Amino acid sequence: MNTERPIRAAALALCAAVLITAVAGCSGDTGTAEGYLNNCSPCHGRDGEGLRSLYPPLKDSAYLSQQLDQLPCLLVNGIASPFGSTDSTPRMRMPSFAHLSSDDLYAVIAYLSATWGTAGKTVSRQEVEAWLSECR
Amino acid sequence: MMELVTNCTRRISRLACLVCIGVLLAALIPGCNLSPREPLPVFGTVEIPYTFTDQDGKPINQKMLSGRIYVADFFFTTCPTICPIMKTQMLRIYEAYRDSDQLVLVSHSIDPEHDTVEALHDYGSRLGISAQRWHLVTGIKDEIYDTAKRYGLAALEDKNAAGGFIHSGSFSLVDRQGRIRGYYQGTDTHEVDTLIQDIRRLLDEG
Ligand code: HEC
Repeated sequence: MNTERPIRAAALALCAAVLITAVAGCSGDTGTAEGYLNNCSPCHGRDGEGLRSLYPPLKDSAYLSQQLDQLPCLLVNGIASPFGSTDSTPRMRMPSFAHLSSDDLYAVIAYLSATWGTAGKTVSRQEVEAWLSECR
Repeated sequence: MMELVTNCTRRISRLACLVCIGVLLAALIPGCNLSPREPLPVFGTVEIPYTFTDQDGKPINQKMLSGRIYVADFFFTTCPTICPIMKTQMLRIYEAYRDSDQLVLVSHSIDPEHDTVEALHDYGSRLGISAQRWHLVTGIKDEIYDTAKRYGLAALEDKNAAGGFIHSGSFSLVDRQGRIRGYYQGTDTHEVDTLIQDIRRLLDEG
């Protein structure tokens, strides 16, 4: 009887843990994550963690804090790979997302900014439009 | 009467917990599976009549791979969609058998014009992998596309696809006799879990 209680408690705790993980795994992504997951997560990772030195993490990127105004045009232009050119160390290429509509770009940027950006800062539609006009 | 009821509920909850523990153990320790397992199926023997070059500039051909277990896939370094996910999964296999010289990985570039030895070398060092254990290979384009077919994996050029190519996201598992023993979706964590276990089974086949 004395030994039975702790065992039962442990089993219940285990069961609860399993249930909680299962339920947490079920909670769906909000609509705004969609653009990020479709376009960016293959390289930058579901949680913005990056992939070793191939693809940089976005979590602590300056483009989500001080340089947020440059993010829209970074996405439109992509980052060219200088393979074959003689200058600079080789870099990995990031494709251009010029084919995305301004709505889609706004959705991705708003998601990034809300998820890993400077705490509390929300980005407005107008701001993104203005920044985009630099390259569109 | 009261005594009987509590006894009963106690017994039921004990039973429920035992069942729960059982289920948990079964889920956590697949190795505990007592039923003898069927050997992995054989999908035919691969013959690769070509020699490719890896990220260290070393020739890679069937002769060098024979007697080893290996996993083959097709990718390109500038692929924007499934390749980075496949490489994340391939890294899991690489890490799982880090210390085994019995297993090698062979990733073929289907964009060999861009993916030169130099480009593959850079890619490999960014991934932090050893060329002895994981070959990133380039070669003559037609030969690479034909090789994909021989592994039962598709690859073709398509200007309309993202990145310019369409290719299978699958991994082929090849045994020491050069026979294909399994296909796994290289973007699916669960299928790659199975692959990691199946490699162990091939290692045990001796
Ligand atoms: C094909 C892989 C790939 C995809 C897809 C991709 N990126 Fe990138 N991204 C890269 C690479 C590679 C770099 C680093 C390039 C360099 O060397 O500067 C990068 C850099 C960045 C940077 C700069 C990081 C820093 O701090 O320097 C940001 C921000 C970024 N990406 C955002 C995005 C967003 C948002 C998307 C989706 C719309 C996206 N990326 C899709 C590969 C990718």
